[in-house]
Amino acid sequence: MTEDNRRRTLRTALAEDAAIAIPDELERSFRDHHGLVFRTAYRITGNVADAEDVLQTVFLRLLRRGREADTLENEEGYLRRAAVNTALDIVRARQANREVELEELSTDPPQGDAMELRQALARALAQLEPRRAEIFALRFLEGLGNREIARLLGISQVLVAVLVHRTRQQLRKDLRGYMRSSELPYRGDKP
Amino acid sequence: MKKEKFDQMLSEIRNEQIDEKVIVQAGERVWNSIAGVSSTEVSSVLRTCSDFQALIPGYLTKTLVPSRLLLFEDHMHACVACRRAVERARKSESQVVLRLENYRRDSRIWQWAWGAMGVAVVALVTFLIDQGLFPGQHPIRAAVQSVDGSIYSVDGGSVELIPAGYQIRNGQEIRTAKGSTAVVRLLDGSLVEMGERADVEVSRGWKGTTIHLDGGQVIVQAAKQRSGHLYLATDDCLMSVKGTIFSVNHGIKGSRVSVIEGVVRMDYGERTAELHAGDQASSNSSVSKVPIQDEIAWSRNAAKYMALLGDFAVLQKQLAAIPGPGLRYSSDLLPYVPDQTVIYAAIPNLTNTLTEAQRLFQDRLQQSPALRNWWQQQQRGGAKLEDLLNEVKTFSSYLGDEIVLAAGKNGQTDTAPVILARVRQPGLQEFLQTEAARLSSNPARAGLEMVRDPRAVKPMPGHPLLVYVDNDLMIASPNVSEMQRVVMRVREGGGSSFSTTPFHQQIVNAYQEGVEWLFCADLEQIVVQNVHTDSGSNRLPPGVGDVRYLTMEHRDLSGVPESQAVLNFASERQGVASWLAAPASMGSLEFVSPDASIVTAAVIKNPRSIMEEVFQIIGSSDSNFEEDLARFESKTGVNVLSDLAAPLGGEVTLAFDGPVLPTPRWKLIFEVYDPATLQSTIEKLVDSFNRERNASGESLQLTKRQAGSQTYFAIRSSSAKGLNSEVDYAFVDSYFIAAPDVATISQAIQSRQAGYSLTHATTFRSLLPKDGYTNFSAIFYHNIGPVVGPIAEQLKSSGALTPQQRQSIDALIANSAPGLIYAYGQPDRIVVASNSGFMGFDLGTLLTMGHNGPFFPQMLLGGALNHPGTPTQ
Repeated sequence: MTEDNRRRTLRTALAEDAAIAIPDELERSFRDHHGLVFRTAYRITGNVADAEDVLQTVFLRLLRRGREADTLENEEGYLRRAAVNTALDIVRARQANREVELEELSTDPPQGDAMELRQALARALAQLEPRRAEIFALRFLEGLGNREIARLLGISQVLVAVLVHRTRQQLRKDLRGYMRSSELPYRGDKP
Repeated sequence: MKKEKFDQMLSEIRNEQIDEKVIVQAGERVWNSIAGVSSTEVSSVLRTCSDFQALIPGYLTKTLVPSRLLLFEDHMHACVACRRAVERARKSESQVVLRLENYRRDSRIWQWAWGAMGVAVVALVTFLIDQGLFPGQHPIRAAVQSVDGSIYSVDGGSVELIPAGYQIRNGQEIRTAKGSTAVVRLLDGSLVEMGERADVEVSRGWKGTTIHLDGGQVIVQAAKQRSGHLYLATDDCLMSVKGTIFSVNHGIKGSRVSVIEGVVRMDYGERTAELHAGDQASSNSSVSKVPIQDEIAWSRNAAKYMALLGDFAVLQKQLAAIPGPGLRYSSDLLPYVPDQTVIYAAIPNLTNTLTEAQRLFQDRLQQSPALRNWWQQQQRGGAKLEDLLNEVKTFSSYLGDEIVLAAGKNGQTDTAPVILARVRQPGLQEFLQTEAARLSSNPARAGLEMVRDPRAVKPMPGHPLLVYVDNDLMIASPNVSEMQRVVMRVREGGGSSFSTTPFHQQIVNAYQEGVEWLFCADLEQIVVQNVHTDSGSNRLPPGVGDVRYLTMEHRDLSGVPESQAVLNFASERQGVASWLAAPASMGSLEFVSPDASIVTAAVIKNPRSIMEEVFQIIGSSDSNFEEDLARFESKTGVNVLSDLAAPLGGEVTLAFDGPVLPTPRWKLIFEVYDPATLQSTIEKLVDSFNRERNASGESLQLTKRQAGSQTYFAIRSSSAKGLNSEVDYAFVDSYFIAAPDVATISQAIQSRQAGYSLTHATTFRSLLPKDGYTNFSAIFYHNIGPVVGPIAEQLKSSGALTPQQRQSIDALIANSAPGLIYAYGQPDRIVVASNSGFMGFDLGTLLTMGHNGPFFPQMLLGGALNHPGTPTQ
């Protein structure tokens, strides 16, 4: 099964199993935060289709928590983390399924070298230890402060600082080869 | 990849704008999908982990339908508990069913098993080494070698007092109490000396040991590292060393690193610095450099470090930035002030200088009741200062850059003030004679008298202001004897006995910093003598008697107004004067959002000591106090000192954070060292109140509510009259937060978790002063514009206001810019300063009083301003 098909099936399966009346709270949460989840996912995956998949997966999982689940204390932080991790999962899964054609993964038009560099960053992130990847994405792609990340992850702020520092060094090192081969400056492309 | 390109790439990804239409369309598609299927009833719903775990047998026997299989695998990916359940089930299954043959037959499975085992071993070894559990390593990272005061272990919500010898585990947070220091010895022999309120963790990783400094100051004596480095990490920089002595001071504004010996590599932001002995660097430009001696003076080893520092040539760097024109660095009038001067005011000769001096003086007097009393005594039987200044301001244009007013105290007798100024142009004498003649035409109000020869004037009571011009110096005083003494000093070329006094030195020191407006008072002579002669009826609170000097300054530095008041004490602050603690980090501010309108926060001395001193003060004036206190404690079962004051820490914040209407959203945040005792005390007090319920039938109800992992408490009062009120509170980490409702507390907690706090707000940070401190002892922040603006607009639009009132409201809005007043408590003095003023009410804006002037003067003097011809006397 290709990654794309797998995800489509997962969406269908999730939808079939989400036999819970939609709580008002979820509707409000979706209304308030779907943009945040989408943007967060897009910053990591770099394409609209994946970001939409992340959006659906995150909220279907939230729906499946049901009414009995605890109220989210920091809803925005939770959703941002969920979006980051789900997006990273997609990138990891894609790497594990090399046979998947790029055209199949994205419905976006080709983005050129800037997008390649972006995908290189996403791949490098996906190869990191998940927590470090998540911290890096929250820090540099989402722009959160170390303290905020520490609170979200329940770890020491200084540990975050150290991990951010080391991950940053690692990623620069990982992308060094790419830049040498392309020597192209990065220019962000708009969807 | 180059740092710049890497940063640029991240920045562009972060700031990339996505077409809103794309998001909206995606959102609609996703929501339709969710909403469309949610109404479909399915018999078996997967909601909880139990539901998923019920599928494990089917998963292991591969009998799950594809959609369930996908959902199951997806959940396993996200849920550690269920993954372990699968592993357990798989193991138990393998015990029952021997699959050895299968393994033999299927070489791929066998290879997978070996691979998995290899990965598991590597992961296990990595984990063991990283956690310090490998042979030769140890989860204990350090031990408390010595403690001067108190040191606590902080673990989530629990705070535990720990003794010397206590062993600190990997990642365990420890914190010194206010006024306490401690030395922690790491396993490699490195010593970490923690200053007061320092927050430290120690962890070990592949590359070496890391000391995590969450706040406060430490001095690290790094032992020679056999392998790797010793790291010290704050939230904004990372230091790595091999073997050295260095100090790190980390606070709200950033971190400052000072190297005493060796070399420290400092990574902060995008920069890296290599610091050598005697060097100092900070992570933020608002944390300026200070002499390293001062930075490490708190250390018990300060003398040793100072000796080390003495070996290096560059240890002290003068503040390079000298303020621009307008500041004066010395005074040639100072040698001529009276011998017993106790008040010295120096004001620049600007437009309306004397008017402003009069106002400044009044402001000062209003702020100090003791000064006010002294001046009222001084003014009895003589001309009032206000009158004197009004007379003098008319000829200010003849005067030099500075006008000095000095007044003395001879034993218990207050001497008349003396005004001194250089004469910068001829004609002053003639001008004054004309004025004197004009004034003498009104015999009842002869306000000015020119003196040609002071020695020829005989002392007599009720003299008008005597003015004598001697070459280029003008001397004015209502008392001829004072004037004669000044003239004598001038002719002798200065050199009065005043120049040998500490107060004189205090004034000279003030000039050395550059002054524009300067007010110095020898409070030791004024307050103490005045109070002590009051037959004990007006006894000073403990510690206030040690007050020595009050120095107040205002200056403009490159267009930025800076006001500062310094209260000096004869020795280390005692009693009431010591309640304000030395600057320290204020974690309670993390609960305040950037939207707060008014915030006041302080670090204070041990609350128990404060309470003891309060008891002492009350007890000295109320003989029944001890008996009343004992009765109260007996009734409530609460020992005020042990149960109420002792559990509290040394930090308190009160903030108005949120909408003002219908009721203001306030927050009170206290640091708490012993939440359990404080909660028990609150319960006892509520019980006691209900037992002693008053005639109105008012009662209190204490309830507890759990929301997620957070416990909220509510105290509701209800009375027979139907008046109900509520205060909610919660304990978060080592803080007690109280507010009028749970939502406010929850919001405060979320603000802290998200880092969306006042201390990170641009508005607040732009107000931070550039000085040598990383923390404050107290702050008062105001940003009422966003709150007052809409209300003011609503009032204006109501049409019920007079033009005068509308003008006042306009002035209020125009002057409601945010501001910050801050205080530093030092061992023998308290410094209060501001570079923004309070609602436009500072000396600089006083000069612009009138249209668009500050609110308070408009409000108070608006009528007078609209009628300039109206006499003010």
